[in-house]
Amino acid sequence: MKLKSMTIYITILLVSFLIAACSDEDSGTGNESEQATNTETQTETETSIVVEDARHEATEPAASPALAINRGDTVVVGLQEPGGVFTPYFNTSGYDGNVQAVMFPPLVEINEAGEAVPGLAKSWDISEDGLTYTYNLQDDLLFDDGTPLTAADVAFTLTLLHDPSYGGGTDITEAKIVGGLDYKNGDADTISGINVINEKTIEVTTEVVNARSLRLIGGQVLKKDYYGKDYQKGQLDYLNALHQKPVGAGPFRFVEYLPGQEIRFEANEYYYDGKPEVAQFIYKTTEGDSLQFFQTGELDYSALSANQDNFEFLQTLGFADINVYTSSAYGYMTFNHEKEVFKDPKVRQAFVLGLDRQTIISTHYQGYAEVANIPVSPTSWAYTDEIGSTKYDPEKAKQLLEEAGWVEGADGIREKDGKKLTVYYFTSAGGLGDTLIPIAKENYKAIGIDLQVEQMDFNALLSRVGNGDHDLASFSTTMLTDPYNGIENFHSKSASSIIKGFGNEEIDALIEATIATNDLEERTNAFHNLYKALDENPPVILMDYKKVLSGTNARVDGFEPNGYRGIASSLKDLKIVDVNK
Amino acid sequence: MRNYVLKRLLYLIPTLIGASMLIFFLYSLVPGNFVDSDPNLTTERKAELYALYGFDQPDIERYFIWIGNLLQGDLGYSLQFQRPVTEVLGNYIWSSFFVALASLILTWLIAVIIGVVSATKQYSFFDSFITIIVFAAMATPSFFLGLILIKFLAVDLGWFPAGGMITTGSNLTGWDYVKDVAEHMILPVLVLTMLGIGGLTRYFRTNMLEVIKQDFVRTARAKGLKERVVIYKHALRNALLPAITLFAFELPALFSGAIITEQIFNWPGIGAIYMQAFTVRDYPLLMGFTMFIALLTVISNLLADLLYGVADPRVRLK
Repeated sequence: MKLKSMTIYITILLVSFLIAACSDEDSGTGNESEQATNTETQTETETSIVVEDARHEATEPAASPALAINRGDTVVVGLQEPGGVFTPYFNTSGYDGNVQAVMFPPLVEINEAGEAVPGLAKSWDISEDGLTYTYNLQDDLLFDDGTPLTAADVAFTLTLLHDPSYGGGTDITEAKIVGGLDYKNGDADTISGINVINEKTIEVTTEVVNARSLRLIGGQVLKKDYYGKDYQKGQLDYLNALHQKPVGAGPFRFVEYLPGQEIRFEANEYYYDGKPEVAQFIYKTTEGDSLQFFQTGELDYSALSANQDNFEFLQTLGFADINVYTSSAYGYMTFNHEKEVFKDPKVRQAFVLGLDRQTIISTHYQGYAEVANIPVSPTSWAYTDEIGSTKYDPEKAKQLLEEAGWVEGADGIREKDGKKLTVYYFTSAGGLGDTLIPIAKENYKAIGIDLQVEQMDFNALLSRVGNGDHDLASFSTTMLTDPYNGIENFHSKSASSIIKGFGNEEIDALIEATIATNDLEERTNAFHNLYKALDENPPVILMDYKKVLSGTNARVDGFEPNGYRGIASSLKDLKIVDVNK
Repeated sequence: MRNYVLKRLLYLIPTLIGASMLIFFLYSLVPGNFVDSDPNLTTERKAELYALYGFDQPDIERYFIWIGNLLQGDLGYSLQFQRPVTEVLGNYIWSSFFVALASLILTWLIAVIIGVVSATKQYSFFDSFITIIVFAAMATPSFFLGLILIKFLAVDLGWFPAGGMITTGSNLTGWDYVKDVAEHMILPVLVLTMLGIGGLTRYFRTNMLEVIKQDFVRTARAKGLKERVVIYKHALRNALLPAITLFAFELPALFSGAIITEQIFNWPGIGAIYMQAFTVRDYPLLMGFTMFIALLTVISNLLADLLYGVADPRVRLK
């Protein structure tokens, strides 16, 4: 009987302990935001420490797990579950794009500074007037089934993208190829602006100068007698049957797709730049955290959320080559320009100056992000640190609000025409928001703005912002392969659902000027003029340029990830090295 | 009896209609849909896609279109995978099924044994000890249990693979393939079993305790039967009767996948896909799958009632 009461006691103790542990978890989010405010003062003393982009060699390559070494010349990389549409231009999931990039190099590639470099096209010429593009294909180009890749395949791809029933995400009409719209909307059988000169040369004529056309036209190539075997204008349904049987011309050839598990590729002996040394390449599907798979050696390469913990984790492993690089995207907080309060640029400037972005970014990313000053990442050729600012200036912000007619009310919140300056900020749950909310609330309260916050999941956020329910909302751009992508939504005629109602003729003209020439220097100047104008009349509150952290098992050489193409352009150079040397 | 079965089958119809309405309208009332999840779309393109996927129709109309297709066995077209929902489910559901089945068998086997032993030795050290263990296992959240097991058994000791269903890049066939999958299954099955075992053990223990106190057990003992026969032949059979109902309820669970456990162990099951479908708002997939589970649930209910009647003459309908 004594034992019985004893065990009951222990049971109760144990159960209550577990209950306590659970309830701790539930209140986790609340604690985090408290912590965020606590650390605020701490980080102010150590502001703007930004981790440099760098590559850290493994300290102890021999520590590489046997599982990885025994795999030999098979390289495994983690990827989130793709949608299974492996035909370029037809996928809805971005992860399908990663899969395609292994097999389908574009005519014109892009390097780590965002500049155009040769891909399947060894060179190209742009006519004096900037309207005609001539692409010269590499010598002896073959598809991965051994058949030749010619200009006719390029012409077919461009025609297919103009098909009236094409439903994918690429808008080729932006390049304004001569005769393109006649094909898309009219009854033309061919596109007059596409001209196959010979097997290796194709000439494309456009109607307007657009700096983006070079890469838009010079994209990935679909094999004509495979993807176009049953092609009839207006009929693309037959392609669905080919989505999981891709034929490309990349360093690796598609072998097999095991849903939920992996996508297998093998070295392509027909690749124009030579067969890769690695015999097999595999994208392994991982959900969420892939740390454990990298640690046990199941993955040779893995991108991790960039923070100090993960960096130190990789360091302690010893066998990880660590890469830190800057993403080409930027994060921002958009204004609802359809709201009366944001019509005045001074108010928007006040919102920018009155937010202590430095503290928020340093606290949250621990150095793995820096505050954005212009809407383009430092990796780009268009970047400059001479325009825009990242400073926090509440006094100036107050002054600007006064000038705009918002005067302090009895409760410290500013008023104008009897209306209080209360703004609603929407953000998705988790992530930067957890740190930003408490700091932003304090910052804005200090200059007389009442910030109300609502957190929701990402789809709901997009939907509600599309309806215009917000005043402020947080977003991040996708990878920006051209700096134009970072600013096109600021055009008054832009159809973006996130940034609506911004812009005027002057800004529109500046935006258009950034693509009105193919000369890089002229474009850089055009961008700088635009960035200056946007600094005076901010369309968004620029937040951050994030870093990307990745680990490579030291047994594999050649991964050179960058902010534009990820690992895609370095796959061909992969090599297996002996870790014991 | 036949009338009873027929009546029960007829009841299924309004139940399923109710379920379908709930499922459809719950999903259609949530803000945001598949098209909204792409921030790069222009308003124009969005309208085009809305029309293409039928999001521009009124909800009521969409409901009837959906139901009409369901009746023809068409669960719809997954927006994210761009394939029919039935095909997507087929791709993932079986791997979930095998894990669930293995853990179901294990859970029941262990629970019956523990339940019987701790009932016959009520308040013994074994009883108390096992009670603590099963409660602890049951009370631990699955993600925690999963991560702990990965940390110790997979990463530190390297006994088992940390996740996935097969060794990456392997081309095993036949028996070797089965062995490989089995090896990968051990950890997820272990987690699911530990989570499920607690409740069932208590259930069997209580049943058993009740039965043991009944007159027919005393009679059996008085007849001079061996204790083993009394417990396992007379008592256990009666204690298992109510479990039939419970067992039938496991049917939908076999196919529904374990969302968290599958995520943690990177198991290519339907649970993980279901969660992913949520984040991108792949409604046809979500609705189709939920409806499928609803159907399994009502069927298993019916089965439970019928089987119970078969097994226990006391509740059989005259």
